[in-house]
Amino acid sequence: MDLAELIKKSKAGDLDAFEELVRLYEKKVFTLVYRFVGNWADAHDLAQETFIKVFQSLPTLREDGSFVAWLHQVTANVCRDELRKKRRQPKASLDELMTSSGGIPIPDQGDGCPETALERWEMSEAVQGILNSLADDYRLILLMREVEGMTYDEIAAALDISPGTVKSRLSRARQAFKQKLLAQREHFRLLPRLAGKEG
Amino acid sequence: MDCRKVSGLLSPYLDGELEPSEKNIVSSHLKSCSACRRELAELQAAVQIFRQLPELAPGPAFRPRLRERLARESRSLPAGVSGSPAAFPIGGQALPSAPRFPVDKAPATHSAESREVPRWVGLRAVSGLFRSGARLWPKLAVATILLLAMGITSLWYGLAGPGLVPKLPVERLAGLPSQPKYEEVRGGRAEPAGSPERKASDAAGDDLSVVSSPEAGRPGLLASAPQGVPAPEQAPEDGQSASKKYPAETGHALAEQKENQKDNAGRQKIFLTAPPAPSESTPEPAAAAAAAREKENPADPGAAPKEVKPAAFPVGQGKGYRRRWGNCRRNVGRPGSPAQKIGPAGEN
Repeated sequence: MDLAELIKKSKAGDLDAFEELVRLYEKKVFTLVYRFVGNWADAHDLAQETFIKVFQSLPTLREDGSFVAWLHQVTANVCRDELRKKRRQPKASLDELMTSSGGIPIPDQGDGCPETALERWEMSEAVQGILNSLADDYRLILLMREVEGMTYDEIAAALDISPGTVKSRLSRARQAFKQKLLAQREHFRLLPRLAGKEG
Repeated sequence: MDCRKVSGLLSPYLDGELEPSEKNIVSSHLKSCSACRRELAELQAAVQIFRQLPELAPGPAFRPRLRERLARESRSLPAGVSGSPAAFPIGGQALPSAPRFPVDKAPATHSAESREVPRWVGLRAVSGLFRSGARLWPKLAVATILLLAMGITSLWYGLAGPGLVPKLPVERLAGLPSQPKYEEVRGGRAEPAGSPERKASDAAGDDLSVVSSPEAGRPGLLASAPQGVPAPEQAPEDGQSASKKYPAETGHALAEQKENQKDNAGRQKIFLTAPPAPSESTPEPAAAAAAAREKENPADPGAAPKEVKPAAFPVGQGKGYRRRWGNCRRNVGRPGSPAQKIGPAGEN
């Protein structure tokens, strides 16, 4: 069953078709929300929230619209709502006090080498730590651009800001991320350019 | 273009999002500036890191839980869920294609069926009531506390004495015969039924034990002395009886007093009756009152203003007040009594 057929059936309320749609995009959505909130349990909740909104809002999706771009937009909106909630009710969750991995299995990189896999996993956690330390707006725009690969126009539409603002905010976010990355360059020796800076 | 401006354009330059003219300027600057070239390389490396981040998958229970939630929310919120008629039937009737839950900036669509009032509207209202119940709890708690406080207060007043609770003269307002209203004075002085004072006052149509009501013109209310002025010292400044200041239904008051005398012969009571109507020609009641006072306190006949009997105590005063002024009333006229020390207005 192709994507258009799945969307059509999901619009009609077919939960089996929608579950298939979820299976196709759950990693994308989950990765983005996990990178955004930085912990396992909240990421699950936000991903579920995202797909519930997707299911409820599917009839508003235009026939000629891009489902992936629309999915990014819904995910970004859920993340923004979470930001607003966090700003209104600042709280320290137990999950945040625990290690950021929170039981995430180390992803298999395919080369079969456990050392490389561990190194990559450590690097991933270090990047996550840097992301968590960034301002919420910077983190969100970075993830939308670098993880989701959204265009400037898509980001502008999703965040309800002008493309010029996207340009300047993304530039500042990248600069902030780079500065923190350089401060922890020992974690990133796999990257030749940053590793070369050490010497 | 200087390095600072170029640095701000490196990010969109990397993404190919610059205008051609800006792109040419940045390119030519990078050829001549090694610092900006290094910065561009660092920026590229930082961006590359994101590409190396692994894609994460949710746990195995993610989809079953999601499906369960979708089914549950579809049942509880039929208006917000795009449930298919076959998927979520309620009461044998398929759900209509209801207005969808709006995403930000996405206009909600309303189908023609949703304008009709379907069967599940009632269910939705009930579920909304339960959901809004969480917000009602604080209000309910406050209302309960207030009710409890009111109940305890009324219970306390009921134990303290029946006269302390003011009663509205509903019967009088309705023109019906009312139950006798009285205020019991514990240890205080009252005219027993059939006493000469009572008879005299009855005959004169006056009431010596009338309570001066601050709400003049409201006969029949369980009256109180003017606030802030103790009842025993409430002597008429102009020499007139205090009772003259207030209107009354004298005939009705007399009938009421007689009724009270029958009912309450064994108890000491001060009858609350309506004060007499203000009239300039009331010498007879005044004379009768003076005679009664002289009878009561023959040793001090000249201190008429001091001997005006305070028939009752201000409504709302507690036991202590009643005890204190009850004693004071007993000691009226005796040297050294509090009432005498204070004396009528203007003496101190």
